[in-house]
Amino acid sequence: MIKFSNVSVDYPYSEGLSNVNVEFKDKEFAFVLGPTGSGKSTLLRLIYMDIYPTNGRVDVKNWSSKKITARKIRKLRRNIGIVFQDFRLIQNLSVFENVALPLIINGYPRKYIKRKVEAILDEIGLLNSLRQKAGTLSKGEAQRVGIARAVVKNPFVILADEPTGNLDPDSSVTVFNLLRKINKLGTAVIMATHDYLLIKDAPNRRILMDNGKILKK
Amino acid sequence: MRSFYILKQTVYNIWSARVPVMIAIITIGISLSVLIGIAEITYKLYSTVEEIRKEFEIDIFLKPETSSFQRAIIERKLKNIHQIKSYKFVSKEDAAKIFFKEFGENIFDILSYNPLPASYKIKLYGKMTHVEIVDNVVKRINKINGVDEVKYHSDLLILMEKYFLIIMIIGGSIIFVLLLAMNIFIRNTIKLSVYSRQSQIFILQLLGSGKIFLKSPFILEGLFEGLIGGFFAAAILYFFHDIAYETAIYLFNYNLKEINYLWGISIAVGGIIGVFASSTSVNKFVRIFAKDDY
Repeated sequence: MIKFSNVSVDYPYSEGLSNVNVEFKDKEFAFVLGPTGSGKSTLLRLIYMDIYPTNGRVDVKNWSSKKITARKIRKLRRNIGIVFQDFRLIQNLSVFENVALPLIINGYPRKYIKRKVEAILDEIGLLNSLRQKAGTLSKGEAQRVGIARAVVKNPFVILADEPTGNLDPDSSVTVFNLLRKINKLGTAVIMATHDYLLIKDAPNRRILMDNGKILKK
Repeated sequence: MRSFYILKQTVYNIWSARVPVMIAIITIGISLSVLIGIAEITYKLYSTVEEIRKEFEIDIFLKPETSSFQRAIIERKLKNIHQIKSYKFVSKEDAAKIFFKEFGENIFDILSYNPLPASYKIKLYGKMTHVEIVDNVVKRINKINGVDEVKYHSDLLILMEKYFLIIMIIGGSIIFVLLLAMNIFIRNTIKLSVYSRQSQIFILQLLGSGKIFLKSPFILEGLFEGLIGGFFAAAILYFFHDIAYETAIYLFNYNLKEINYLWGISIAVGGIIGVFASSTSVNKFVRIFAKDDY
């Protein structure tokens, strides 16, 4: 589904990734582990084509970093869910509107959006907060909204970049369990984290990174 | 749902940057009112010059001995000059009547004979009344047998062309500068909005948003500023209409009451400038870079 072939990324003052070869399968839950600056975020950014390899290629389903156009990038991103450490919600919009955004962008009808968003907010326990502005949510709630926004468009993969990095332990567990639940329903999840404690009992594949290199797949 | 979101974001953008938006609207209003005023005056002067060109006449005086047969030949030759729109024969008797009309005295009573020659009054096509073309036509007429003298106001033509050019250059320059100023003001306010929403634009790009969806709130904001600015400009023009009317009559003999569709023109021009300035200023912020762009 996602394949890195001899991928290197050069940043102006450092090496982002060095000759990375890794593959992620359909419906897989994989952790990308490593300290800050090890290249975890670079790896994820390459998947949603926010940056491009200096050498090598990244293939995401039928899209290839070698020949993707701006139009195809949009299409690719409509099929990927992204969860950030800092949530990246639009503060002046309500919880409902934030979660509905991907569907609004895709031009779905109002009734469908309402039904779908309310169902997901119910699932994550935020149905009562649907009119609340995103800027007024707690960090744990904000990240749950971020996950709801990522999952609402039925993506084939969710890329979670340090999703628990800003959360207290309780909220971290809630968010992690939510991601596992989503994965069980058939969506692949690639989670970059350095919270080893949180995932210590999880049976999923771990990809260890350091200094832009993969130490263990 | 998309339209509702776009409208909501537009209103939010405008409300968040209400002071710069207000400044932009006032600037547009003032600039646009001056611009439309100057454009109208320039257009009116242009029309006046064109009117003068249409009325421009060349007088061809015939030799006294010119027979009617010779006149027929002259008329045939005049028809062959394609710059000539029309000609009218003025007999000696007609010339005497014109003299009486203009001076109030009968030429026979003064001189006891009629010395006024028969003539042709020639009108050229409007676009042909330029000094060089007229000189060429006059040269050709002078060569026709039976023609004694050709007269026309070459000094008027020269003056008209000289001042017309100056007016056009000055008017055009002022309009250009004002358009530029309005463009810059709208672009700046839109850029302020865009800068403060860069993270929002980035989020929308990561969600796969298309260019139109990203640009629409900013374009609508520009449209809003342009339309309200245009409305404001029309209001200014009407408010100062009396002063402008007197001034225009005094300085340019120009009747401001002839301004038609002022509200429509002003609001439409404001809207067009608003859309143009905002869509060009927001372009580079909503671009997604593909591999080939690196």
